[in-house]
Amino acid sequence: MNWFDRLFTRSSRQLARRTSRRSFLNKLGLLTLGGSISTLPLLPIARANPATNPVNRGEPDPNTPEGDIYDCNYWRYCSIDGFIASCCGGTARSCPPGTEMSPVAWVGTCLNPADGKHYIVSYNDCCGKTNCQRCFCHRNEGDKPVYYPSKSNDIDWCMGNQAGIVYNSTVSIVIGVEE
Amino acid sequence: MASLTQHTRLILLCIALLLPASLYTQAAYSQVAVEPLGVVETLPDTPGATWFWASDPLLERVALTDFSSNRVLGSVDGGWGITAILFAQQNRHEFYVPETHYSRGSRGERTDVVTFYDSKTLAPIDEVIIPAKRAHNALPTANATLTDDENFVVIFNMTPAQSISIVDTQQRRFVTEIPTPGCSLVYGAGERRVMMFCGDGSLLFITLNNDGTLQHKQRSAVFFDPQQDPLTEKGVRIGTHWYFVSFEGYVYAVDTSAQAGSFATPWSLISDEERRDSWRVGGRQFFAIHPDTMTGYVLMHEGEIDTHKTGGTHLWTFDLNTQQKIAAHKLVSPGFTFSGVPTEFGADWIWPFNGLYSWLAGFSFIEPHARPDAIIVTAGPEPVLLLGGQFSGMVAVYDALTMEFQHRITTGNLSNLVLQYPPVTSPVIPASPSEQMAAQ
Repeated sequence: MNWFDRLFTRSSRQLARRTSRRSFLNKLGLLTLGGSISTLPLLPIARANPATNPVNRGEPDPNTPEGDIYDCNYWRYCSIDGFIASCCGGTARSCPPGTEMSPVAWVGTCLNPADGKHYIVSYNDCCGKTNCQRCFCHRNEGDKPVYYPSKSNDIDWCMGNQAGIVYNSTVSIVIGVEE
Repeated sequence: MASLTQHTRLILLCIALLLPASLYTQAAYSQVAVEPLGVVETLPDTPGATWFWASDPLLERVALTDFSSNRVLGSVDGGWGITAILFAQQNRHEFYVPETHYSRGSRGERTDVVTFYDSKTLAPIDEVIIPAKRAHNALPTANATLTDDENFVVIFNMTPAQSISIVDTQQRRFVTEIPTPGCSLVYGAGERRVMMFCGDGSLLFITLNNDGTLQHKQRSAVFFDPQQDPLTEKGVRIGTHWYFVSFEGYVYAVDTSAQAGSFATPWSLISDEERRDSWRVGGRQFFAIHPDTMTGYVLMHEGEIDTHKTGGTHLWTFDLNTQQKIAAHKLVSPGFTFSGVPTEFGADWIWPFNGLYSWLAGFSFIEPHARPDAIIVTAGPEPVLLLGGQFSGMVAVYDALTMEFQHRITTGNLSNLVLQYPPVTSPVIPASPSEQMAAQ
């Protein structure tokens, strides 16, 4: 490996350590749009409006990534590997129109930064329409292999319903507080 | 007038000399012959050593590409979900594709089927309808397998109750469903024997009778802790052994020739120092083995815990016999496609501009989603490593001995989710323990 490769290897690794998820796309968007409108981010877009989207009880500020249901860094999405239903016509806890929520799911344990408590989150899939393809989120905290089903987000959980196994997106429903 | 006559003579002489060449040229470029309609190509009797298959869940198909010539040779459609082909090694005239279809596209009545394909025409020649229960997940393989005698296709079901369906490939009929509570996935492990992972960290071996019905179930000892350090499902089989890598990068070798499996002492791919630097294995298909040299290839990245599905920035090679690391290689991006069309440019430009695309595409490694997450290695004395990922329809071709980047190819897919290399070598079929016992 020559000095040129080493230089870029080192700088790339440092950049990877410094930057957060999707910030590369964000900066690329800024670069593409140019300095004159560089205050307009391409990704992620700040969708939450404090005037119309007040802080829900117990939830983090929706203007932060941990409180924004359209952001992969939203606290409940800690174990997701899929498309978040909020970006597909649903919300963090409801499925898009015309889909059906799977009655079975995998569960994760996520830290809510608003109160410092760990919550048990049920990740139910929204079924019956093809892949949403928006807001792919790949956090996988606590994910286990397919042979450990209750903790596996690689499984298509669109099972045991009327809609069948066609996967669209995933919701994140709080089902309890970890004691 | 005399000079004009001489001039005319000279021209006539030139025409006389050039006429034969002119006639020859006209003969060589005579008009195109009328051609027959309706001609459809077929493939050769044996698969090419430079062929591979790439599965695309968006286009619901598996594309066959020659990675040497960068030519797409054909495709098969697979229905809903991730499609993976089951290749027979002895009966190469056909292959098998477990599929799921809905009567109204993405809705309606669900039909699960094992489709029999002709290997030369790539046309479906038969099908066996199976219980509409087959498992759907993000795994590239291990949801179905052929038994080593190639008489039975075994399909993993999940409803979420776990079971396997058995299809007889000779009589082309569904045989039976066998419940396997607590155990998932399916791996070949003998002539009429398969292996499954159980949630407690053990294996379940299932042996079939000659007619495909259940003969025997055998549970192994618990040999790993799925809570502390689970094994990834992405195993590689060499003869009687399956090799698995754990989330934390430990190699587990399972010898399936033992009645209930036997297990070698796990060893780490990652040194203590490398572990301190947060090096981890990761990817959808992050592990491959070159059987001739027993060289292991592993996609690696620097990341925190729970990044076991994140693609690689580097590829490490290991001697699996000596359990020693051979080398680490920084990866070149497979490149990107737009609606299946490659975006690569400048490969034939002069140095250093011919590397401009690779340099630019290299920045994509910063984004974990845009990293390659799948590798396969071909067999033989001149192995090739193919590197792809779900983000692109392009694949990078490497010399697997030197790990030198060769070129990029395009499968026509929007996403290359599963890479498969059809068998071109003679099969290694171990005798199952039940057969060994019967022989005694």
